[in-house]
Amino acid sequence: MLQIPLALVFMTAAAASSDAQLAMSVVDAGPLARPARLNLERVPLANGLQLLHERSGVALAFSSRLVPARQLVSCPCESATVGQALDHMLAGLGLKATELGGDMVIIAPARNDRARNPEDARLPSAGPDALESVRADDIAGRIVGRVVASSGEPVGEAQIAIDGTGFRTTSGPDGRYAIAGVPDGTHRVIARRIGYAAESRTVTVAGGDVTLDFTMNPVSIRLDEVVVTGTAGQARRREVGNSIGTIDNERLAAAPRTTMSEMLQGQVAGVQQFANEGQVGSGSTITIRGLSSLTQSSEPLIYIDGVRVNNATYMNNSLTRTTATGNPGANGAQNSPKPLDNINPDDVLRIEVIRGPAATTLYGTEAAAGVIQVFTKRGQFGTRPQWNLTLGGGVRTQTANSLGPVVGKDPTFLGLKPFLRNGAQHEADLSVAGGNDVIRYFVAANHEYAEGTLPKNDSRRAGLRANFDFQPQDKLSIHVSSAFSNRTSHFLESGDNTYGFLLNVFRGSQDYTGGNHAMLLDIDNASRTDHLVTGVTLTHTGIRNVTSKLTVGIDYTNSFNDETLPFDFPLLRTGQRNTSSWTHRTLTADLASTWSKSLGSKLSSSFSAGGQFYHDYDHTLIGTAENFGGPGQVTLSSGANTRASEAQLTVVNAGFFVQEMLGFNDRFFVTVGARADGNSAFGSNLGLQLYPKVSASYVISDESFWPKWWQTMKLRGAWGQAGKAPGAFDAVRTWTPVAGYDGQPGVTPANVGNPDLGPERTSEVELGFETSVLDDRLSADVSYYRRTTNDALFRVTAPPSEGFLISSLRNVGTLRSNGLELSVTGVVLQKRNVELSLTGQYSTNESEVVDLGGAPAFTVGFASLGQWVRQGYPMVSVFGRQVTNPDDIAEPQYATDQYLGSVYPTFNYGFSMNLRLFQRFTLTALGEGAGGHVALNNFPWQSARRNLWPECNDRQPLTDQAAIWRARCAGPLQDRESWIRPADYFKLRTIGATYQVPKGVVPGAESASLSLQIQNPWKWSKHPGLDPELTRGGTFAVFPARYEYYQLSPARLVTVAARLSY
Amino acid sequence: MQSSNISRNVNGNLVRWTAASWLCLGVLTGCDITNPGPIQDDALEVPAAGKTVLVGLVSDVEVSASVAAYYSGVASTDLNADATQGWVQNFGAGRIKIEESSYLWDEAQAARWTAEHGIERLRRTQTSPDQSPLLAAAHLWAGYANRILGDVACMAIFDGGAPEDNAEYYRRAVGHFQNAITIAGAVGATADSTAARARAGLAQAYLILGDYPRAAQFAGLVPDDFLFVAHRSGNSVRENNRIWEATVVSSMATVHGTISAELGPNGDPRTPWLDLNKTGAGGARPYYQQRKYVDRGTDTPLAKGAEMRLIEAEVLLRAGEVTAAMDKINAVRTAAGVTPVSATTPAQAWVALDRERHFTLWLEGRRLRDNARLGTTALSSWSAGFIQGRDLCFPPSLTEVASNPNLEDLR
Repeated sequence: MLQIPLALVFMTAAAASSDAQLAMSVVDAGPLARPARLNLERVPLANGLQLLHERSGVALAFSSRLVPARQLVSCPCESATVGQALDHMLAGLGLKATELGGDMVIIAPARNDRARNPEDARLPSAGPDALESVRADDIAGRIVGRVVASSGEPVGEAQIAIDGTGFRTTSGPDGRYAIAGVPDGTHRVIARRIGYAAESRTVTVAGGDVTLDFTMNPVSIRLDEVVVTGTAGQARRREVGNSIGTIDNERLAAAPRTTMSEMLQGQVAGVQQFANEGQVGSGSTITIRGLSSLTQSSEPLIYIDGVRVNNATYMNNSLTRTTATGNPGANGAQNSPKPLDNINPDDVLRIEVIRGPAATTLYGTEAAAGVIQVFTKRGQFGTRPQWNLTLGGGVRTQTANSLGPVVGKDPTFLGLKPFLRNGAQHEADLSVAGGNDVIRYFVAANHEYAEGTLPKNDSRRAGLRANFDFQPQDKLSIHVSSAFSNRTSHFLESGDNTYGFLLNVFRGSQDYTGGNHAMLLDIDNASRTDHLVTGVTLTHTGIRNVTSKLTVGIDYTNSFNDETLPFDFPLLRTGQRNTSSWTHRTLTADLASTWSKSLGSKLSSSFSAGGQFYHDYDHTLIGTAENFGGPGQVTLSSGANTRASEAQLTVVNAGFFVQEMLGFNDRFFVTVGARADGNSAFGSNLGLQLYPKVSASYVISDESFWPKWWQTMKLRGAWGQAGKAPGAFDAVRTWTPVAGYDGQPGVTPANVGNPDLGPERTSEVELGFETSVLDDRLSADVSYYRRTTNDALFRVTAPPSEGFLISSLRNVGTLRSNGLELSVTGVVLQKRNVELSLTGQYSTNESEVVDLGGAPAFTVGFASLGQWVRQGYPMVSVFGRQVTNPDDIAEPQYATDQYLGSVYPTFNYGFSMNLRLFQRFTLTALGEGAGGHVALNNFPWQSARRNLWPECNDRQPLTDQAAIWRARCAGPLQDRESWIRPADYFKLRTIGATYQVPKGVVPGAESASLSLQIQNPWKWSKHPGLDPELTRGGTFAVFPARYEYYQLSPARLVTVAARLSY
Repeated sequence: MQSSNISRNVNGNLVRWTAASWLCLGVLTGCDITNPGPIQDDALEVPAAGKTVLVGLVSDVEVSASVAAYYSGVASTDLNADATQGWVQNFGAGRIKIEESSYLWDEAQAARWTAEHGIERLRRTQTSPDQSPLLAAAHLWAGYANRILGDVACMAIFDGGAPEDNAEYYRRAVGHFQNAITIAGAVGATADSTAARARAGLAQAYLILGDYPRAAQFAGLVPDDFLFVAHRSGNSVRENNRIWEATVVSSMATVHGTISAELGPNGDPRTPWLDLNKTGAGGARPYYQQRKYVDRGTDTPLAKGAEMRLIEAEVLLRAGEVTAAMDKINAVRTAAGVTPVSATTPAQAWVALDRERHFTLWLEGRRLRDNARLGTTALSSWSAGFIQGRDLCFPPSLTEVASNPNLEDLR
């Protein structure tokens, strides 16, 4: 085990903070290969090192005993790398610089048998004391002080520098700093920290100490923040030509804390999360910039610590049952958990979102819908173990507001009220993080139990996470990230389902149970999921400024779902049991190398090349048993009749990329790149697919001509392509095995096949800017995108008279969408005891089916839904009969086959608020809305048919009513289309309050807080049903169609939590 | 020194390891995956797959028969709709829209194509196709596939071609039945049942084609107790009886309001039903549950001896032999356990024949054609009285219309 003598660590905020932890897990140009951007002449070595750290962003660690801090050095290193600058400054001192991993460089004796003085093995924290000890005998004068935020909180890791000199230091955790050896005279001192506006003050030193305090104001534009998503390695935000949405700790503070999906609500412009179903444990749907495909998934790729994970919902249960018309899967829970929700929100450090092909090119064939990268917490070098404990609890309730404007007004909630309950919620999270010079660690365990507002609905999740970082060798770092979770959810039968609970309750006695709805509580539905995500990242740096990174990981899930209708169940006396066991495995191998180099004084280059390999495997076993011999616990073997089916699916995707990024003057950057991809689902006639990209960014506010009052302006533009692969069997002509008479094997036509089948190719242009004014207190991020999908995969159906009823995919279509995304963050009020910041966002998405490529217009989902893909209309549009005289007091007149609206919202908006009072109270709020779309109100329609819908019953006699209400309420055969109504909504997602308990109140605790959060406190909607976000879910969701059919509203959840840190 | 060597070794290994990793990725990129599960087309081009091909095509035709029995049953007044699904409601009201026709058209067309495509494959793969029992059976089922289509479809379309007269289905059926008989004859006694079933099919087809002598000729070769069915089973959902699903699992279609309901639940043993004292799924009608198909595995008849006697009766009636025709009809009734009926005029006899075909072929997918054949031609005032305003056949489905270039006029 190496013991490294260290006494000083110069770290920027970025290096010491979470960003540095992220940097450890991603490919990097290597700190020694970064531009030094330094020009020193006869400054003390300690100051030179500090300045190098400032300019390069590279953390430097060294021993005060080994480094002659007072030695004057010069370094004409404007165009040199950090490694070259260090070689220059350390020449003749017997010291050499080696990379420690991530952003850190250690300066140690050049010999291999390093000093092993135990005293030197300690890693003191950065700060003025350490610096002072180096230069204590050289004090001419000293500037001391404290850096605090406008809220009064100390600001650690702020960089304090005397302008025009090499004198600088970093504030400690308490905000205090000291710069020693300052010559007498008047100096301008500047304080900087990422996340805050720079502050400068003038001070006169005349020997001895002079105090200079700084108060810093937070800002939101962070151009030197390191991002990794969409780049070949890591890059500073200023270098990136496309928009990247980041959700960091501060943003997460206002987010719902129950599931990862909910955490994404309203956080990033263009990202929409549909709740789908309000039973706890249910999955959701996430789209970025609307739909990206009409036949393939429009959900973004998801990576957790660099390992790709399944981004779909898990298979739900009850796969083998049928409706009278033979539609499979119409029964059962119709709820599917989402893999993303297996992550404990408390383990998440940061989320990055890239929204389209302009940024996702390097992810290739499967990335047209965007990419979400989740980074989990890690320990830090040189920190003692920090224990964090969170205990929380709460209650979940359905309210008049949560159940929508019509049901909520009814005294009995249309018969649902007797079945509703207050659902308990509790959680416990325990984690420990820390590290020494060899290993860093973050280990966490969590348990959450959520009870639904309906009987028999609950969800229990337990998880473990262990993240470790090793430094076994100078140039090699190893990062291990592992998480295991177990989730068990129980559901009531839901949705479009003979035994659906809400379906029967809301139909009163005109239902399948004859009004005895309680019998449906005898049905058991459960989903049990074991989910493991583990990955290892090896980062090797230093071979001729080349950094290589290899990530190998696995995402493994086993999900078991079962549904049991017990023996003597009134609607099926002999009982039935359905099970599905689903195993999913994604293997990730990701290798990338980056070679960074300075090309003269102003030009820098970073060339990257890499390859990725993904191997997806699914195995499904489905079983059904019927006719039990008697009551009691049953398995499939308990049935006199059993059926089983099995499916296996393997898809391999692999490809290579190259990328070159040129930087000029650290303010203008051009990136070009391309990726070549192969996929096992491509047709046999298709080879590798090439996806190019180009982007540029220009930090024009760094130019001398830029007005000082306009702090930041970064212009950016990007163009790129990404793809969406077809399914595993789409290219192959296949026949499905079927059972004939007496169980004999036969075959029936399945897929007609297409040897030329390839991926959808989506091109996207994105233009935008990031800017800030008012001392960085008001910032904006604006993007415009225009996305065109050529070779769109449409299901083209051959004439049924040609035998193959299942439509087959063809690359025939053209889709287009464009939109504007605006995000504004402002620090509205900033006083010592009051600080208010607001973030607002607005995005639009206008889509159009430009060309069907000769394919006929087609419906998505069930034909009767009237949700169409038609040329010249939004990607999913509703067509049907329309009442042409809706407001006339007359019989309805109809026009057939009319465009009735878009199924997906055409605009979204949201806001978040963070109000801090008296430095201890924090109030947060998060809201989100959408509109410009319509929804099919199946539930109100079905109720109206049965004379059970208040909107109709309150309008009797209908002869006095407008035509539209006569159409909606006129009897058992009234038009379903007349119930297609606008679905605009606004939802207050959360409101919360946190109290920071004074230190000492909780014995031994370093910090303690109490928080209250109300989730889904209020909503408004034009949608008369339960909730505008609901849709038939699970495996048999009729994507991209959306329609509610007796799904439950998301409930209000009130939680309190105590968080303790030791 | 040792540490330095280790460092060099590690670095060297890493370089080699990195290079090897790149190489591996390159190799893996070219991976060709063949997934298990669906059967690829080439795998069926072998003699040993002949039985599988035959079973598959039979299965498709059987599904088609079951689907036709349900949807044409609702559309033809065998049953009445009380569904939550709009298309079932429309069928029940006698409205058969192009956009809702796919539920029957597509299944029936696919079954016909699969059967005829199977014949081509069997001809390629079987060593002596003209003596192959598999091929004889394939022709038999292809014949019934065409007969089913003829009974429900408004126009004939084959393999994406131009629309033709509905009678083409029956002509095609005749060709298949004759081939089945010919090949079965070459096979020998083991294929006798195939030939017998084909003869029944010929009687059905010739009747519709108006070749009454041949209809009577082949009907006469079929014994009273003959029964040929599309097997249904509880083995899988696909094999379930569709009418059982729609009326026992759920309550989308009720006997209430039909001719059979007028007879009472036990009025005719061939049209059994039960009043469950509730409304149907749509909540609009009393729910009278049909009891002909009491199990998911109850078979759907394709041809039976009683129908052959009624074919003979119809041929006699068309020849003006009312008494002889009524004898045939009453023989059928007696065999079914119901009392004879009398008719002295041709008009009365046509009504008697019409009603008898209704009760005999109830829920077997035959009524739609009879409504069109007997009701609109004023042969039977009985069916003419209840088919007014109703669609009498299924048009090409929306998918067929949209994808078949020969149907642009229907778009």
